Amino acid sequence: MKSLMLSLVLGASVAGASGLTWELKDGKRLSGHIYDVNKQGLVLVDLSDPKAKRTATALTALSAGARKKAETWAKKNAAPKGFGSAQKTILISTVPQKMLYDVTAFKVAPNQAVRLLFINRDEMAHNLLICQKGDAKLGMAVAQAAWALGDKGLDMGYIPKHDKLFVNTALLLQNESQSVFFKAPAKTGAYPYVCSVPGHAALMKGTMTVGSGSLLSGLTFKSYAYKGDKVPDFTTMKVLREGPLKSGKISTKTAGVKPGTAVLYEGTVTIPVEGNYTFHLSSDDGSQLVIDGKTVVDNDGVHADTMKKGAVELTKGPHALKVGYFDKSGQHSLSLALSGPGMKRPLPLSDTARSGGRRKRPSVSIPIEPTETEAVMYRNFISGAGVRAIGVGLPGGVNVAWDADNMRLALAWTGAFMSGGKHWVGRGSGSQPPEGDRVVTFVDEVPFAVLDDVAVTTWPRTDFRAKSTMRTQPFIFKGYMLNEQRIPTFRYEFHGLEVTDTFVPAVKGEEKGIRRTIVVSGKKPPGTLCFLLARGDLTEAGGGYQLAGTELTMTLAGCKPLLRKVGDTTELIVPIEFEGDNATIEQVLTWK
Amino acid sequence: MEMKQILAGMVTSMLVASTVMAATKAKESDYYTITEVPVPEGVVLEAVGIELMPDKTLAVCSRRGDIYTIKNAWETPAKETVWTPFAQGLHEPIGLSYYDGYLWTAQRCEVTRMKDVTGDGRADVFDSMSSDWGINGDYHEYAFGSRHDKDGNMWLVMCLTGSGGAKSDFRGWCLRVSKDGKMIPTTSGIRSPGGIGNNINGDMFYCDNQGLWNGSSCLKHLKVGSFQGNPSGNIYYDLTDAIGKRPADPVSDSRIEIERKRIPEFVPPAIILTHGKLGKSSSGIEPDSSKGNFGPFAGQLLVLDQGFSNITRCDLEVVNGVYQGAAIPFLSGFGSGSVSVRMSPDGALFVGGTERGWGSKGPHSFRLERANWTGKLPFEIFTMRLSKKGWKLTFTKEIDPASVADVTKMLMTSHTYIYKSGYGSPEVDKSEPVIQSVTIGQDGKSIDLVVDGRVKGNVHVLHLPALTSKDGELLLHDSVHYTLNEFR
Repeated sequence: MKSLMLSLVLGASVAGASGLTWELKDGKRLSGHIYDVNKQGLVLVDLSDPKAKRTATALTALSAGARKKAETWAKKNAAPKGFGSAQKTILISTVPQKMLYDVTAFKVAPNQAVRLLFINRDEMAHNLLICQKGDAKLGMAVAQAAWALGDKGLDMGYIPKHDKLFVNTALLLQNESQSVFFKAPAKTGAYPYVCSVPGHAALMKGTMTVGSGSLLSGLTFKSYAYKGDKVPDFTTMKVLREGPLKSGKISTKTAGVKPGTAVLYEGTVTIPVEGNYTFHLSSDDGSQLVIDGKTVVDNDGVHADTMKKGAVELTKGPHALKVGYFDKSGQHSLSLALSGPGMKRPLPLSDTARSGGRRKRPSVSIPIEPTETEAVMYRNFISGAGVRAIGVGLPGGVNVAWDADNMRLALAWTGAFMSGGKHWVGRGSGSQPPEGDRVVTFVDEVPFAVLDDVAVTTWPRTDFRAKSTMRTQPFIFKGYMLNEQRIPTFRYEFHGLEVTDTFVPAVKGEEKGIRRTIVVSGKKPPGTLCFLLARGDLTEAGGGYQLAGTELTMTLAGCKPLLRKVGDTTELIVPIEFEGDNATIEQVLTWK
Repeated sequence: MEMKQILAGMVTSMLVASTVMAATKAKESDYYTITEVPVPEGVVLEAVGIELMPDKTLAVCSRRGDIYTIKNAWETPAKETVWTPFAQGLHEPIGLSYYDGYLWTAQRCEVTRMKDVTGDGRADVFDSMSSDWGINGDYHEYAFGSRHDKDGNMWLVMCLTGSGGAKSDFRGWCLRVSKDGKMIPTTSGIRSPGGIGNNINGDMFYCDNQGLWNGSSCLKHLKVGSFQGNPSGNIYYDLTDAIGKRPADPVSDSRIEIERKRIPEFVPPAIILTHGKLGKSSSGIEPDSSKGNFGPFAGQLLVLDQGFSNITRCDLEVVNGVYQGAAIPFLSGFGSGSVSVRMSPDGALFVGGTERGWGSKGPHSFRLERANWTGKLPFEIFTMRLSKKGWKLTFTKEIDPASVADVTKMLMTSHTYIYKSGYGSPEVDKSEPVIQSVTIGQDGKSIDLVVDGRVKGNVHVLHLPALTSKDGELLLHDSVHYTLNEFR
């Protein structure tokens, strides 16, 4: 026997890696990911906070175990000798259960000393590899080189030997964070980054832009107390504060803007090539942009954040730039960007212009619509219709959502049917609301009950199937049949009775409506069997019933409906009258 | 004339030489082709269930809720396919089964059977057969459905809520739904399934993905009444006495090998698909039922991986009543994240893919493909079976005795994983079992290894980089991973 290295380590090392909890000497606990360990002590970051709030705690306040953990991290994540201090920290974390980086674009200056802090919040292991200058294809090529490592890949942290790999983190487990220090490349341009764990790079990717900073130079600000409604003539006013803007970016923060402030920014914009340029100036409240003494954008007046554009022919070289701005009250904002020859997207000239970063992903719409002759269905989590919801988009622009947990009409609306934007994107989490308008929400109860006293007996909750539970109640969904228009007739059973529920469009020009037919078959049960149509602020008018707060009117046929007061609300119920072994209720829903 | 003959002779011998050269550097594509079944414009087919219908019609279900039937899908050479929208608007159906004249599927919310009664190729009858489990609106609460077993049951594996919770009834369980819609609780201990299917003997298996209480993706045998390893769903023993009393809770930061001694219901993974090496998210399961039409591996179990877009071949055996066996890399390079799989009797292997939400090596967001055997016999490890003192391996071709003479060129390592409440695990308890001797079988196609230091509960990885066939071919895949649950 050569070397049988059987070491059964119970409670092994891995447990410590994911610890987000930090014990203090006084027994209290802190929670958070490591942002840094520096002169302030242990700096934790709260990534659930939109502003990624940081808190520092002196190492001396930590328990011995926590202190050791922090010091070990500091040792492992120290800047290399001779690196000096980082001029910029870029924080990128993974989005839990999303297979995404939270930051998909960031910018550094050429030769800038950068600290990349990578935090893995996802359950799966991830890394981050920044490649040499190139496009997204290069990022994929480097990732694929990692995939090609085959069964050695994991042990190598999926870091391939690739001449286009610029800098990388290790493969981090959940809740681990790592600092990587590097000097930004001298060459301006785009540098793709990816996670190289097999399969991840298609989703986990981004771009580091190396840019030569702002086109603005010699930028200064002068701020004034001001209560007017227009950008003032600054010449006669008393300067409150003034100073340089070394970043070369227009900033309301540095200028100390608060309600009742006016600011004059002055500097030089250096144009790279002659051509037609467009300035994008947005502000709350008013602003004006003057180039070489000529007003190019006039965004004056008291208003919410509004963008205005102005185009101007500019020669190569320096041009005098002035921005006048004021905020009278409430919120304030000011941003300026420039687009022109060779610029793929507007180049920010202010620190508030968004450039990618920690933005919420916009929701997308993937329309699901019926045709003129055929209905369309959507079974999924539909807001207001439960987890076993069945949406039906009927020809003619009327729609319903039926709840197959409790056999009830949950929603009815007009216009667009549904979007697959929530469930057909990424992992598909959340509930999708109807896409259309005039949505009416119906009562969340089982449809049938036997009432001792039709006037007063409370609608029973005992047969209601709650979310997350297995079926224990007497209502049993049996499915549906489609007619030639692909319109479903829902089928269900309870206490030996068979019920069908059908919705067909009743659309006359602009008037949108739905005709619903409920058929009950089987032996009439003892007692008074009732059907619950609606609950809410209901009134009887013109042979129909109106539900307050909606444009909906309901009319009924083949039955004797009853409007009853229950507490401070009203219920519309139908005592079922059997003809032999059958009973039918006809209901027409019309939006007025 | 004479000159020409000589030239022709030279060309022939050069061809022979180059064939030998090529054979020593064989590629998977020499033996198995992967052909795309083109999807019509505008159709998004995130294929997560594939079934064979009568008349050589293929049925495919998509995460977006559509089911299509496809004619001419397995013609060679490829013919123009004819697509019919059989059903639409279903709730993330995963798995299809044609049974008793109906097409069945497992939607997130229910088991449904469908039928076309009007004869236009589109289903008109949708019967809800069972919905006897909870869902709460969490995307992770998937339901994977099998094809029907010989008793007419569809087996379901119910994914947990989120990564580790069991917030809805019977989350973390395997359930059966009988042909008349009766729900039968069958096993506990499920985490996050990627696929479910039977082996060639009709025993049911599923794949579970690395995560809480699961160090590596693996293939698991769904023995009725068993506990599969993740205790989150064990609270639902309160809802049923179908499989007896709630088993003892496992202890975290332990080993499966240790915990299963304490928990008699615990059936260990039949085959651990070594994480990061064989795959990272195992999914669909299909036995090679083609009786040789798909090549030499008839009866073995093919297991897909979504992240790696590949297939691993599994050779199972039962030792002391417990499934275990060998996993051998088989075929890679599928176009998206492989999830669904179905083999036709004539040996076409259909593979459906989607990478949405998890990513895959395959670059496409979705794909439907067909793998076929070229008719050429690859040189492969055929089986690896446990013996009293080591293992017996068989190969698809006769081996060169000289290439196994030096045992130091056969490398074996072993490892296992921490069994813990946290996510995943590194490889631990690593060892290097020693191959003492090699004996070549009389058929010339097998070897007996005597191995010192085998570890119960570990995955044993054998590398055979120097082994060649009689014709001098290297193995197409020279490693095999054997999960050792029981000694003989």
